[in-house]
Amino acid sequence: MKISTAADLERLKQEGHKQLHPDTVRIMVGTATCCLARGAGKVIKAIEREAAAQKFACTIVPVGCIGLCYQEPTVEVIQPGKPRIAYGPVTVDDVPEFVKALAATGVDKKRALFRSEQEYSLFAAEPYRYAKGAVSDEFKDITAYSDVPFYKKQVKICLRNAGTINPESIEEYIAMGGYAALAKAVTQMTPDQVIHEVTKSNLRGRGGGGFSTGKKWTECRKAPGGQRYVLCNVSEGDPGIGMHKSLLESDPHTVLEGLIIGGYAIGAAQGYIYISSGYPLGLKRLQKAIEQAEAYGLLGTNILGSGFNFSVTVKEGGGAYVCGESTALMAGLEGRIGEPRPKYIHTAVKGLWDSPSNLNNVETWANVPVIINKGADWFSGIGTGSSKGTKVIGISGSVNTPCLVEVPMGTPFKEIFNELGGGVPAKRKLKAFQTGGPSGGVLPARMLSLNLDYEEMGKAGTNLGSGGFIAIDNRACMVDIARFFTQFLIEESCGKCVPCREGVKRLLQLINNFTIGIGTEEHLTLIKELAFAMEKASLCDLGKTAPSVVQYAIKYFKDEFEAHMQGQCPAGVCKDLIFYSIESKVCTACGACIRACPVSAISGEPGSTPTLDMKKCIKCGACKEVCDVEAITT
Amino acid sequence: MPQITIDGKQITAPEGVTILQVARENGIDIPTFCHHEALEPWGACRLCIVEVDEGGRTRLVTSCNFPVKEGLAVTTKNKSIIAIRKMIIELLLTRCPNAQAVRQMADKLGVTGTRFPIENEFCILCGMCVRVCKEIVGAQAISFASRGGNKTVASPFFNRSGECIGCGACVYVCPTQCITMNDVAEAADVYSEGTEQVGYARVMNNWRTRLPLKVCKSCGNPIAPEFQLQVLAKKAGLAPDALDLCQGCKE
Amino acid sequence: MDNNPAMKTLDSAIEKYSGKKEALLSIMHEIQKAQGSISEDAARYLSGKLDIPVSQVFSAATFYRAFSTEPRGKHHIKVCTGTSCYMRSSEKIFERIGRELNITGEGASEDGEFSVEKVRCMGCCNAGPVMAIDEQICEDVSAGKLPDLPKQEIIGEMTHSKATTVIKKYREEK
Repeated sequence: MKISTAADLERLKQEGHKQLHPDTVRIMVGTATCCLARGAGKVIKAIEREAAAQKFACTIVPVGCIGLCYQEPTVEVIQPGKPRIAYGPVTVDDVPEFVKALAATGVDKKRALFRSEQEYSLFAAEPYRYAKGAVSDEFKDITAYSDVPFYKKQVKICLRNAGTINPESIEEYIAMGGYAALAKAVTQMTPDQVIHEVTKSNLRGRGGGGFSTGKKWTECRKAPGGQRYVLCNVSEGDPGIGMHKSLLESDPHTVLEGLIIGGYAIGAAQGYIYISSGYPLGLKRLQKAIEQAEAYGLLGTNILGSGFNFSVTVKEGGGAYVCGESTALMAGLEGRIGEPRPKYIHTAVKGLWDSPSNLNNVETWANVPVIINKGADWFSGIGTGSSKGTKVIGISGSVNTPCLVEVPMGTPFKEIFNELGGGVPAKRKLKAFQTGGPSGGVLPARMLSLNLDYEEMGKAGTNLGSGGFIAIDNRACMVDIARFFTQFLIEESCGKCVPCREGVKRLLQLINNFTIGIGTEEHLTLIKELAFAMEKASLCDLGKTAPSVVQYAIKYFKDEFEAHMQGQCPAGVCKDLIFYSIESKVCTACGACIRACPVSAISGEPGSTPTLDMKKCIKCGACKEVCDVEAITT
Repeated sequence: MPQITIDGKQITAPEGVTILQVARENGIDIPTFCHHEALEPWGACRLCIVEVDEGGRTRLVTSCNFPVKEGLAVTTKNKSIIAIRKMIIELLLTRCPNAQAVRQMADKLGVTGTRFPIENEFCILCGMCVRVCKEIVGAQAISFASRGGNKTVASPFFNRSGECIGCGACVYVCPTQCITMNDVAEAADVYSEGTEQVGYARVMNNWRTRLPLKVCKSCGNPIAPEFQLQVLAKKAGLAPDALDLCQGCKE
Repeated sequence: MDNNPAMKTLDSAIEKYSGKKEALLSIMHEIQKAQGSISEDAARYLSGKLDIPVSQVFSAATFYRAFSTEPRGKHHIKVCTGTSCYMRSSEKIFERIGRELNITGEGASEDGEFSVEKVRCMGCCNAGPVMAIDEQICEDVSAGKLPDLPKQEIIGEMTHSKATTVIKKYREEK
């Protein structure tokens, strides 16, 4: 059944509504990759079993990322007429009790986290209210979402449907206002009007470039030539950053809708989505979304009767960080190795197969349907003077409440870290944080005073990058961090140009001098000199920003480099500079370290502090890891 | 015909050319390592970096592939550019300290040694062998393999190349002369395929490929690799065995 | 190529993408999944069918991490070395696995049973350090099932001992 008119879409929307707000209990289990890693798949099966066994009528729906990563596996429950309740963690072992409580009283107080009275909706004239009337007693003592920073601080544009809809149901996406923007664009607006709206909104590239999306679209539309392409970048190669994958796993249709609208605006009949290898779930959900859109005629020929034809192909990359760079990505799409080429002629003019190509990041595309529906003015009302809209942030690392959120641009990092991330765990101190990949460097804790803003971060000498938040505490050694990222870049360099290929190798050797305690001031000077050439002369941004991490580390953590020059690693990380010892005052003689040691370097009698033979010790760190009381130090 | 300046000198450039082309036409020296006039510019060695001023906006670009346009002002040497070129050659010297071409370029750029621990490669990964094989010869017998610090040029799977015609273009074009080939009279054990007849053969050492040489029907001297002659005959629309006389016997 | 099932894999992969040259990487993904590597034979076959020089297939097979020219082990282990997982000692787990299985760096064990690889980020940054065996991300194994495991409170984290135990389990179960 093809959707040919707005009326068709409205009909489907009503059907989707019934799915979203059924007459039975709707149990939603977060099933993004990280949720699955915490057992969410098994939890779903367990709930199905228990519900059947207890004869509890309910629909169990896999949803995307609910965002409460620190409480995974998380489950949200909507009962007709009652508030929506978030529960977590709900492990497989918890399920029988959980289902029993739901069946008996409608709520599992033990695991309840938050309640919400109404559905989060950007498009509905009147947001759907889960609970009719005043909050009943059984739910009163469950914290209201609207009282917590996790809810209050967020403005969800890209993540508006994440955790609410089944990402594999186009009907649920449509029920939340999905594809209305596409209908509006192709039936009521001209391509130029669409571009005008996006330009007016001041949407900027979310992949890290921060370039004006509207300007890019304009340049591509105006470029001479026939066939042109719109491309979506889901390479997300920065290590430790996974929010774009979560976005794709939670709401693939918002990306698709944005891409189709972009195709219409630019005059492209073909779109490509490049997803890096190793994300099977995102790939699967995206492919399913495309099939569904095709079945409904939202992709293909004469979309919504407008005469506009558009198809999308998903391509899995080969696994290369450098393919996040636009020309390398396009080389990959063409079936070649990911070697960048100069952009003296923009890819908007000569890109994929030398045709005009507009490449945007997946998060940038996800914003487009909302800009068209709500209008540019609404969008640019959020954020700061130069950085409009919101940013999806995956808060991880050394934080108490890691989570996935979307906050307005301009939000202070202090709030992101403290109020959303819950600050650093007890006994730890925040040392540094990272917002993107290696290119932005690792920033010292005091720079938490910065706000989430392209210009402000640029002025502070760094860049927002893909915009995550990884907290690094005092257990980390900044010299080792510099080494870690430089090692990463050596493996990811395409190897084409001399400054990057040869330079990163030498950079690593210089940094290693410090990790083994033979670093000198001359080495620091040489790093600076090498960095200059790499920054100025490398072919692409990978090489140009490769020295950033070590440069930032030297700038902001010079004391650690100086300590290493003296043969010391204050954080106790660099293998050659540390030796392990057991604090007898703290040791509880539990024997865990003796069992953990792979080379039997620790020995002892039960009840007394073990002894560590440093001659045998291979410094693998297993003992330190298993010690519950932190009696083992370096 | 765009009007540009290079180092203050006013030049009228032809349409559709690069800064490097114009510079060389006008006797202005810009060092390069990965550039060859018969091949598409590659832009990998980065030695040809120059500073361009496009209506007030300056940036560093590679002159080998930057198209000239009206009003472009080019500076081929300044403090930054000199420092960059010196570092690039120092890096190459670190990788290939015994390659003569690298040492010569280092001399030219005023670099006497390297502060980094040296390796002993001879290939500077300029890619000219791969590019000539693809763009001029059309055989595409070799390619880059791996990436980053492990990047190398190789025949497929580091085994013999079934596409190599033994023309020697790669040998000719290599700036450090690290690609070698020999013609031998008895190639019995060299990269043997087992069933091939031994005798005259051309050995492409780097590509682990042995190509039996066709011998002249008349005098019995070796002409060229059999496979090469087959390919050429096919291109010329001749019978596969048409090329069977050496130059001397033809005349 | 004398191996019929292998040929069938190649043919079906090529057919799935209509023999299009630009789909080279997608086709190679299928082959890597099915055969555990991109062998020279497979590359030559692909080259012929897609009319792409074998040197180009070889170049892609060695450039991209998703492909290997050496066969992987029967059980392929991926250890995440993204920033968050690295902070939680995933590198040490990688080393520990290497010692357990007698593999140096990334590669396969001599008996071909296991191979290990470092991957960038599996997108489970809060469940780290993350490890996957045969594409299954290793979830928490409760202390109850493995009585000699030291007590660990946090769900989902892979530790040295767990990693070793998981591998031991695999060996026994096979």
